[in-house]
Amino acid sequence: MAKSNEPIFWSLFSAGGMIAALVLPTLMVITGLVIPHGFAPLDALSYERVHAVVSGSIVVKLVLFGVIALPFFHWAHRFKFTLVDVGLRKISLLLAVLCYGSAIAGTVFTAVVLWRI
Amino acid sequence: MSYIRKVPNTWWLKRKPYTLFIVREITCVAVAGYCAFLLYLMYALRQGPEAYAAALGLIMSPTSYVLHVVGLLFVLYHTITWFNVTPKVFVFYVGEERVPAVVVAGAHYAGWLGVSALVAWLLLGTGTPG
Amino acid sequence: MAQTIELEIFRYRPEQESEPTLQSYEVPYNEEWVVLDAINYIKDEIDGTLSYRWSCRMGVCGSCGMMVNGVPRLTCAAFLKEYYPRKILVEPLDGFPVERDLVTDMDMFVAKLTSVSPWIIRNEGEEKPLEEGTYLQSPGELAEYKHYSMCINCMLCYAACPVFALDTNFLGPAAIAIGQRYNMDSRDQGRDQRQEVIASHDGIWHCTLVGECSTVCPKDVDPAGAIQRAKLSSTTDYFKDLLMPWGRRT
Repeated sequence: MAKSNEPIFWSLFSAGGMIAALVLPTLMVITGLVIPHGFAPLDALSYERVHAVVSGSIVVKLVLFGVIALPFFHWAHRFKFTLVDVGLRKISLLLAVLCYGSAIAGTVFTAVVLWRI
Repeated sequence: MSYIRKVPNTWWLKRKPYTLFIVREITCVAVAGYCAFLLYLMYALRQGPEAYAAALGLIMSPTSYVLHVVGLLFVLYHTITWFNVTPKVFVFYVGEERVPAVVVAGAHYAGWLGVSALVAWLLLGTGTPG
Repeated sequence: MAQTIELEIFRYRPEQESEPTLQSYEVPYNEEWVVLDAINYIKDEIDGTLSYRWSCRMGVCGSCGMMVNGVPRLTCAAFLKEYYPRKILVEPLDGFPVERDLVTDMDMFVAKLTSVSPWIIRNEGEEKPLEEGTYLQSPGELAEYKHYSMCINCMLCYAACPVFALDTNFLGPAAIAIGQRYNMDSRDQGRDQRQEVIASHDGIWHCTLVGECSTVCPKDVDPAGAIQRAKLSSTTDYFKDLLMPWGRRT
């Protein structure tokens, strides 16, 4: 039987899912609730501060790259399977190309943006 | 001649576990949506102070507030369901005893607490101006 | 007047109807009865034409699995009192073709089960001669696979799996769990051979971890867990082969 390349997508999906589970809730609480409610000033994320931290460190850029790009693959995997499950099985190959393609495009864009900061 | 029953596309509405499964899968939209927002912030950061200030300013809007709250609920559902299935993937034995599922899942929850504290400290704790 | 309970039963008799119908039966309500008792009552007292499978009445043979109010159950273990006074809808196991009434065509399942070579495989020439005795195994080695070996092939996990219902090419929960049962047996050397099936596209990779297979399993086999572990180990193999092609296991 043909060897499946699914392990590539599954490992990216899993890594993205783990990062999203660990990191996103806190980030969302901060940008969605803590700052808008005035528990922390908007300046906490000021341009000077954030730019200095991001531009000054390759490690910070790599972490941000992982946090932003890997969840795109998590999305691509789940979204494709969900659409297939609710009735789009006939176009599953097209969905795979669109979903994983978007994730790859998002990843490349993230890398370029972070690289240039 | 055997009869083959067709599965309607609404199969996931028929039983609660299936509905919750689809909800769990759909949380990925909130995950990717928020990451797209982070990417947009980084893009604006690269553009310069004005663009960044405008992008960051979006989080003060009512639209952003609603999106954040709804998105957060979905992402929390993702986090909880994700950690709860970790014992299915990671199986360890100490001697001849299997490490109980609560311990494996519990370790992930503990890690979540740690990472959350670290993220909050990095973003808000150090050198907050004013 | 004695209490009764209504059973609505899926009927399909290919020689007289092209579409299945539901037929209602009123049976005596007895607290100690299971759904299978009620169906046996119908067969014996009301309608001898009803077809279904059953054998042991004690949760061992795995042949009386049916959809009871939409949930796959061993009908010998589903008590009427769980449902009374509501009526009970009984249908053949989801996902499988229906041969007649509550009888499904399980050839597909048997083929899947056979495809994972569910027996102990030894490498060529490494089979211990009979006079050397049995292969010894520690309690720890037994614990690795014992719960998978509890499977009674009742197919409730397949009936609970929407992925299988939507795409019957999927190898499915029990076959993978039983494959893992042998993969994790210290006496077995057949994992590479089984991986050809389990790690293939139609093997484990359709699974989206709905998790209902493990919920409905009457023997706590946890096929969902077996599949996730197979995904993890298959992924590890994949990257090992990619990074160290010279280390390919034979």
